[in-house]
Amino acid sequence: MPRRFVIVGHGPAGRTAAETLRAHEPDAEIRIVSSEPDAFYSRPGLAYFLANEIPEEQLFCRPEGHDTTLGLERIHARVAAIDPGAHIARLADGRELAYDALLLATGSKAVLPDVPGSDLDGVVTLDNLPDTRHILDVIRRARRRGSRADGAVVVGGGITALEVVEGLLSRGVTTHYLLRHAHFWSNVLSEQESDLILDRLREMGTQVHAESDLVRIDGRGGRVTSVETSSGETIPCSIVGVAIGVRPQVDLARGAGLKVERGVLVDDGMRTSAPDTYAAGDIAQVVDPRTGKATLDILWPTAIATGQVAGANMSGADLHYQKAAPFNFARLAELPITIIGQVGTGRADADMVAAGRGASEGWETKEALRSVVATDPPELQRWVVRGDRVVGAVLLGDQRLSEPLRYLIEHETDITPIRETLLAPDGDTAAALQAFADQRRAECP
Amino acid sequence: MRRLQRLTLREASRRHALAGGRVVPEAVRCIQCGICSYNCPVDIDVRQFAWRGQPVTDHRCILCGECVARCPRGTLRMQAAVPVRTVL
Repeated sequence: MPRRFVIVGHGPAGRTAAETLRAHEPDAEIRIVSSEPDAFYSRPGLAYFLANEIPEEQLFCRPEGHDTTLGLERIHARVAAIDPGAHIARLADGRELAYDALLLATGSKAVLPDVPGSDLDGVVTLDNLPDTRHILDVIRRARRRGSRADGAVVVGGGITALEVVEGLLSRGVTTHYLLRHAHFWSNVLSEQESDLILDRLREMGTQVHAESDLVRIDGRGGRVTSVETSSGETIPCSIVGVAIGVRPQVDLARGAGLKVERGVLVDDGMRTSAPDTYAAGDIAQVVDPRTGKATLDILWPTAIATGQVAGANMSGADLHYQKAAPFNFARLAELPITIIGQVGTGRADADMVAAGRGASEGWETKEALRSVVATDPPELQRWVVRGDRVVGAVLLGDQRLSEPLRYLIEHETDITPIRETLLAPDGDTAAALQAFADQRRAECP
Repeated sequence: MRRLQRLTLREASRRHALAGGRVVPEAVRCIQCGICSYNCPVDIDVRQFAWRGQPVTDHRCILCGECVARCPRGTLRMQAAVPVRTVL
């Protein structure tokens, strides 16, 4: 009898695990259960669909018929419970799926603000494809009504808040962005970096309201009509975009009695506390060898890496996930940005109630680190030096130093030979850094 | 004669770039959004190369650089061929 595997969730972690499993287990029965009906799509790509840079069909990133070719069975259903002892997943429609090993890759879900009116039609998040279709539908409906409040207010921070802002602007929607304090993403970005991005957002047409908090969302007939801010302002709008953070969806794991903190606790083989039960992606809380703490990464590359390890180990391999320096890249206010390792400012981000999508707890640090900035406006490069190591970097604009810096950070390379150059950057620093990383890579690939 | 030599050299350089240059991905940055494939004027599914971390080896690639310029995550770059003088 072929072995049976169940994967709960069809994001990058679940998908990668399924494909890895198939490579290891040509004859196994592999079922992917997802509450979304669509084929595998690029979740980060939703921002570009919202911004009208690609059509919806472009989001689907496997060739048509790929699931059939790989023999992956997709089941559109909600998993109500799992019983790790009996090795059974119970679906909300009453079906039961027996398995030899199960992966939880349920991802994370946007948090809604705790203010009156947050349940009104027009309060939107950017979690998934149905959310994105919903935003576009709200825009269409508001225009059809000829609503005077044909505008949007966005609250929150991090990558997602700006994706929503930029997407709405691209669709011709008048967009207001509320910031609780003066700066954007203040636990990760320096004030200088934040200013650079906010200036660009304003140039793009965003009305940025600093020192402004969302107090209440007002509506009529169940629909959003305006918001009230802490500065007493009333802003007419038909959309309230919310990006105040996401929470890992751990209810299934908790219900099954697995060990759960903020995420599902797993070892470096992505095994949970129950036998034959694995977790990967946003929900997996793994120990970071650099800090000794079990942290969460809401990152695409981490989802892929943990999905690979989980998939291989479900088939009997013994791979160990090496938590790398957290790394992400995005486009903020039309500027490319890369964030690697520990770059935190030691401050909190007042705009977020939980970690944002595309963020890592590993970026934050409370230690005083030596931070160095090399600027060539509007480009900005910052690297963080602790002793004889580079431990983090933020690159805004020019991305040429991304690869060498990532190498030095991930390999914890002793930078003594170029330390002085890095601490007092001049016009030759970039070339010296690139040459040094190339040399070390050649010696120790 | 010198002008002819220069013209020959320029044409050789262009041909060499077309023959040896290529678009290469940094796979870990690719988020599979498909903007690259969508904007390719000769319909190469660049995303599939990026996903596998392979250079774009499709013979139809005209090295226009559209995918490199459009990628929102800086995944793609143009890898230049060996300078023409070193191979002539």
